[in-house]
Order: sequence, then structure tokens, then C-alpha cells
Amino acid sequence: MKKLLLFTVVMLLAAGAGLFALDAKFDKAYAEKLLKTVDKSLYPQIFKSSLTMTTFRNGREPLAYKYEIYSKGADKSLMKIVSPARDKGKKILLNGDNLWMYMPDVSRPIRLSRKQAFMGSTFSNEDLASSGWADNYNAEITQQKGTLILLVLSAKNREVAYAKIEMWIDDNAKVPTEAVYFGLSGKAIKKMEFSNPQTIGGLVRPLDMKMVDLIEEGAYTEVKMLTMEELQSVPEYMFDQSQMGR
Amino acid sequence: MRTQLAGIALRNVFKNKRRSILNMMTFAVSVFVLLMGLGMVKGQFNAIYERIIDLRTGHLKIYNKAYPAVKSTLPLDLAIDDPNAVVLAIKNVPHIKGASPRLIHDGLISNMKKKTGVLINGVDEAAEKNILTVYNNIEGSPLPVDGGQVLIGRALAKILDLKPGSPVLLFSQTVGNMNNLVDAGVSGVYSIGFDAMEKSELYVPLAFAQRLCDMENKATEIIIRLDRTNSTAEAKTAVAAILAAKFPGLTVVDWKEENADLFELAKAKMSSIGTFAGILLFLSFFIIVNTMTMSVFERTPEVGTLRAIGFDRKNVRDMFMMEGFFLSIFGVLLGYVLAAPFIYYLNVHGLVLDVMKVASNSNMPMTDVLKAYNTPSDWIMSGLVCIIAGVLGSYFPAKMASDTNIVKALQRGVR
Repeated sequence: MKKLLLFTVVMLLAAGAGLFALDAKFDKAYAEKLLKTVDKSLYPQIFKSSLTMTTFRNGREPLAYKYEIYSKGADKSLMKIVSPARDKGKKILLNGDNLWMYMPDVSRPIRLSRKQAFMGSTFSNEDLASSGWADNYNAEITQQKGTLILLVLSAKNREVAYAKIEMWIDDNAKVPTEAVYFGLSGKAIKKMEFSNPQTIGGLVRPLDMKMVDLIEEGAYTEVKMLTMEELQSVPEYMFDQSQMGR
Repeated sequence: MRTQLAGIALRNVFKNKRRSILNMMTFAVSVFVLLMGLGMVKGQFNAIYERIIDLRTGHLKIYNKAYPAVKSTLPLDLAIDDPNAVVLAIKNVPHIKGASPRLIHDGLISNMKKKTGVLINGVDEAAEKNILTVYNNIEGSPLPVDGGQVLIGRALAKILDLKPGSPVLLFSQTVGNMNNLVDAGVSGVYSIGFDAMEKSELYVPLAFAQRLCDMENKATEIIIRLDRTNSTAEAKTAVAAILAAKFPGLTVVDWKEENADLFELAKAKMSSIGTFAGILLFLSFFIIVNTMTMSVFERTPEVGTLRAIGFDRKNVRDMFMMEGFFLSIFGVLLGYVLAAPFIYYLNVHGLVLDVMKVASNSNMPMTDVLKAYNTPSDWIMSGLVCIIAGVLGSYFPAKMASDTNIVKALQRGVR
């Protein structure tokens, strides 16, 4: 009987190990390279896109915005609100560490705090201002489930938004499918689900995203990329806060 | 001649009693309203100042020198290193009743279903019991020295359906802007009768807040309570001297500087009282102009007679102006008499409010008893402005009387 029990335990452990065993190629270098690819996938260089962002919260009407976005590099973006009509003409500029909002009724742009929620969504301004992860996080692959691998990102310093990010990545398409964001204490704060991967500009990119707020039941924001086109260049003035009224 | 004129003016005041009483009542009401208005507004703001000192600011606060200019953003990087050393250095300053380090930052509290923005106050509750009155009325347990416990306001407990023992999540950001989320439990619920604060401010142990914000042995401020508010300037000077000598990177601000916005509001409120007083005085002015003009018309033959027996224009004008002066003096005195019992009651006993029910929705913290605050200068000022209005108001009718043609006046017959 004891032998049978021991055999069962050994078999279960072996099965578990087999299930989560890592291919030898998933070493540190592979993880770092994969993270850079993911960065490129999520933060393309120069492009124009349009997307809808709809936030759902329990007991409230969905809050929907449509944006037209011009991006240059990983840290410069200009977002123009296309709808709803009451907010049309407002612009949000992300330039490095700085975020600005321009409202047609107010002559000067207003500086936004990085920690504030972005337009009532479950994204913080900081989430949107993020310019990629490779520079600020160490990557390590810790699990594998078929073609999915778990990339664990650990902050290199305490000056970044999240202490740890656990990101499931489709190793074939090199795009993330899910990312869970952890605070300094190790508790999960938000979860992002990526879907609808499409090839744009030579790279597969997830066009739909859903950011779930883990500290408010039923609160999430859906982002759907409607169009995305690579541009040769974008005028530099577009990312100058003093020119936001143009 | 002056005495004679004053006698005639005084006689005229008593001759037409009904008209004089009407004039006097105008001034009496003006004085009454001015005294009450000034007393209640000043009393209300005194109560608010005292309440804010009790609930939020204490009498003095010590900050990193760069902190006050950007205080609204609650910066964590402009902190006080080793705040206990600062407390130790100032604790023997005369008039200091208590001093305690605090760490203030904004964040979110969640009951796992709903979340709301809050100001997280990292405090040493045992030390702050000598400083603030927030901890006087608590349902549940006081905060421990350390550990994930939260003291929340009654209004917030209602919004999030929390009670002592309920689990919550606290979200904030560290000094390096890293997000942080921790488990905590509600240790107690405080009630202060001020919903705005009960909804938005919660308290956690200082050591817990320091870990939440990744600021070991640091504070954003040191709060100081004095034995009495009048000692503020003296204590501030002494604390400033110690800081300059031992902690040059720190500064001390008093409760007036802390509540600068409130002072602006008080000034605006006082100026609105000034506007109201101006309207009252304008009315008094026109009433006296009107009644004195009527008086001049009625007494045209009398004026003619006085001019005929040797009164010159100046005498006639002075007589009518003295009449206005006497009317306003009597009116002011009547106002004083009418106001005195009310002023006494409101200054000494005040209006008793059930703050929990009546004023908890107010946007300013209120006390249980709202007392008026009148100083001798209020009495002097309200009386003087009424007398000036009375004299000025009688000038134009007096001038009209002095310009009266003697012959035409006598033609109307002497009555």
C-alpha cells in the first residue's frame, strides 16, 4: 500500500514537472530578448491609430471615448478625443515623464499627475505613459504551458510603477495574452488581458486589451484598436505642450 | 449760541415723537443687525479655527522647508528624516502640550467591491490623543502602534459598509511612485460630526504608513499642540530657533498659515457683511434725508421766524444737523439697549447645535456650541457709522432749510 502511495506521488510530481518544465532555450537571455520583442509589439515607433476606450463600473453607465493617436517612439504620444461630442477637441499629450491635457475652453494645457486615473478609466496616466518594460525590469521565464510562457518581470529599482509583472506570452506570436501587475507588497493590483492579435507594420500586435481593476469589483476598461498605420514621420510640434492648441 | 441751537434741536426731536421714533428705530435696527452680524460671523470663524486646530492642524506644524509650497500635491520626497529626533528637540519648548510625527499621503480604500479616494494619515494615535480630538469618539479599538489597522470616519464606514473588524485594501504609492496595495482591517470608526472629513480621511499606524510608502523612519510633518492658541506666536519663535540651530532643512508654520484658504474665506465673508452693513446704512441715510426733508417743509414758517429774529443761514443749518445727530445718537443707544441682551446671550452661552445632525453636512467643521464674538470695537464702529450716516443724511435737508427765503417762509404763517 505504501509503495502504491509513493508511486502515485512520484507519478503526480513527474506529471507536474513535465507540465511546467521549461525548455532549455528559455534562459535569461531569451527572456530579455522576448521582453524587447513584446515592447516593440506594444510600443511601435511612429504610427497613427484610432481606438475606443470603454470603462465599465458596477452601477454606472459605461464611459466611452474614441481617440485618434499619433505616436513617435515609446515616449511621445498625442491623443485627440474624437467622441463623445462634449469632449471633442480635448487632447492629451504624453511626452517623456510629462502628461498634459489641453481643453479648448482653457487657453493653457493642464499638467496631469501620473498617478491619476486616465479619463475615468482603470488605466492610470502612468500606465499610458509607460515607455516599455525592458529598460526597467529584469525578465525571467518561470513557467511554460504549451506555447504560453510566463515571463516574470522584476523591477530593477523602486522608481517604477509596479514591483513585479507576471506576463503570459504566446511564444509563437511573441505577443502577451495576459499581464498581472503587482505592488510593492506583492499583492496584485491590475490585470490586463490582450486579444485579437494582428500583423501590423511587420509585427504581430494585440489590438484589443482589457484592463481589470482588481480592487474594485466589476471595474474594467476595454480598449479596441480600430485602425493602426505606420507613418514615416510625425511633426515634432505635435508633442510640444505649448502647441497643443494648434 | 451753540447751546441754544442744541436745545432747540433737542426740543424738536421730542416735539415730533412719532417721526423721531421712526428715525431712531432705523438707526437702532442698523446697529442691532451690525452687532449681531459681526459677532456671529467672527464667532463662527473663531469656532471653525478652533475646530480645525482640534481636528486637523494643531497649533504648529513642522515641515521640510520645500514642502509648504507644494503641499497640495502631498509630495513624499520632501520628508523629515528622523522625525523623533526633532520631536525630542522641541518637546521642552514652553507651551508645547504635545508633538508627534505624521506621514500624510493620498490613496484609495477598497472593501473589495467598491473603492474611494482618501487621505491616509500615518499617526501615533497614543501621542496624538494629546493633540487632536479626532480620537475622542471611537467605536471599536484604537490604532495599535504598528500593524495593518485602519481608523475610518463614520461617513466613510457608511459609504463602504464597513465596521470594526471589516477587512479592507489600502492602495497608495511609495516615495518612488511605485504602486502599493496592502491588506488591512478596520480597527475603529471615529465620529466628529464633520462628514467631509469623515468621508475622506483615515488613520493608520505611522510605522504601517512608512512601510506602505517605503519611507522607513521618515515623516512628512510633525504636528504640535500648545496649551492655548494665544501662545502660538511665542512657541513658533522658540521652535523656529531650535530648527534653525539643529535642523536647518525644516520650517515651522502656524495654524493661520496652515489655514490660509480659510482666512481668505473669512475675509470674503466679512466683506459680505460689510456690503450688507453698507446697504443698511444707505437705507438709514435715505430715511433720515426723507424724514428731515419732510420736517423742513413742515417747519418752513418756523425757519422763517428764526431767520427773521436773527438766526443766520449757518445757525439754521447747524440746528437741523444737530437734530440729525441727536436722532442718530438716540437711535444708536436704543440699538445698544435692544442688542445687549442678545449679544450677551450669544457671546456667553451661544447657540447649541447638535453637530452630528445639524452641521455634519457643512463644508466647514462646526462646534457643538456656536458663540458670537463681539469686541468693544464692534460697538464703537457700528455706533459711529450710524451717527455719521445720520449727520450726513441731515445735511441736505438742513441746507435746504438754511436757504429758505424769509419772506416766503413767513407768508405761510407762523404756527
